[in-house]
Amino acid sequence: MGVSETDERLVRRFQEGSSEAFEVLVQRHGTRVYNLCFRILGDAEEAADASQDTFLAALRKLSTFRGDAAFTTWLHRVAVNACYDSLRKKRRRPLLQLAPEEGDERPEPSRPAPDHADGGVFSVDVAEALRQVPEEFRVVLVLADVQDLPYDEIAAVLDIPVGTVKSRVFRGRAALGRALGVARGEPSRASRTSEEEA
Amino acid sequence: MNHPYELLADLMDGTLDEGDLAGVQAHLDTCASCRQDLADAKAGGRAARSLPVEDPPADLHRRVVGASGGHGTPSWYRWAGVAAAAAAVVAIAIALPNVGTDPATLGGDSTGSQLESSEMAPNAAQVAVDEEDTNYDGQALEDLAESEKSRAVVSTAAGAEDAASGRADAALRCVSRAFDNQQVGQLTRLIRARFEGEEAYIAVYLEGPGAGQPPDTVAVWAASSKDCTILSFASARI
Repeated sequence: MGVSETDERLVRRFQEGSSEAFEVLVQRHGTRVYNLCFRILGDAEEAADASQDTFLAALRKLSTFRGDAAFTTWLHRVAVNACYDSLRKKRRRPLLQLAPEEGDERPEPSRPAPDHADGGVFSVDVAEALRQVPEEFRVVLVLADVQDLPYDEIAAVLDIPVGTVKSRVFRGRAALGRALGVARGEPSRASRTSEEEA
Repeated sequence: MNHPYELLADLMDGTLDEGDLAGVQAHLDTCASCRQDLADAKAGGRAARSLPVEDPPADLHRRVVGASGGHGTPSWYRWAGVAAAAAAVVAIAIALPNVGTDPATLGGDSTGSQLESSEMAPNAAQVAVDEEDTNYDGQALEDLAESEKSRAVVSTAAGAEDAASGRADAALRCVSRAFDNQQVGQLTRLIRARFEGEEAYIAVYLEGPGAGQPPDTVAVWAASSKDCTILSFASARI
């Protein structure tokens, strides 16, 4: 049922009245939306709520979807807005935070550089460090390096220039590296292995 | 000093133009901050890409599909925006039996309301809040949608009173926030109760094709009264 159907075809069927088509879209994109929310919000429960909000918002807004952008681009935009909404509610701060001045975004390492042979443990450290990356950089970093979206699609999702996307990706990566502390002469086993492989 | 972050991203990605390479290298030769950023960014990029894909909660699909109704023809949603726009022109008041002692008010007149316009509930309607000691679930929402069909008696707004309690204002603000201040239909009833154990507002909307046509769907949304997020949804065709 609909496995080989394109997203756009499923959207059209939904607009024509098929609720089953929406279920296929949820099934198809649920993991992607959840991981986006999980990495931006850093909390499983909040990510689940934001994912649910994303699909409910999509349900309400799908009538206005005209296919000007790819469905995945549109859904990412809805999901990022759900995450911003969650962050705003939690922290009571503006929806879009301006990029801090140079130097302001440098977080202290979250903990001493990890030295775990276990990749799973290392990923927990990365997840913790990711939460320290400033929001406006973290969102772009997650879209680029976790969701693997090309820069031009990220620009479309966030409605910002491609150059700004590149700049934020770079600064997000640098902030994450600083938070991990692995680039300051104390490389973890995981990062050393990666260096040697590179 | 301006730092060429965009070009440094290209350098990392191996997409830097030949013409820019010399300039970036010259900058790196003189800027310790950018050299450190580049080293940090290489580590950060590798780390971000190493994050595993997490499985969503097992009940996410059920929660979403359950909240979306999960069955039937969702044609109601196509008309929500049209209905909201039409309602701004054509005032429709809904008589609300069993609303309790608080008078219900409908229509666009916000006299006496403490709501900011941007915080108004969908369609700027004012209704009183029913207090119920009821713990709703998905089935109960569907039952409510069904029962509200017979209550949807349409009349003009002429006889509506315009008193709104502070509690109603708070409830309206919360419901409005849950919908991100978007129009979702004509709010006709607001109930303060629980949904699956959580304190919630149950909001009943009438939705239709607009253009002066009568509503054709009752939509019932549950929103958390704690953080004003949507909890669930049910609908019934009139």
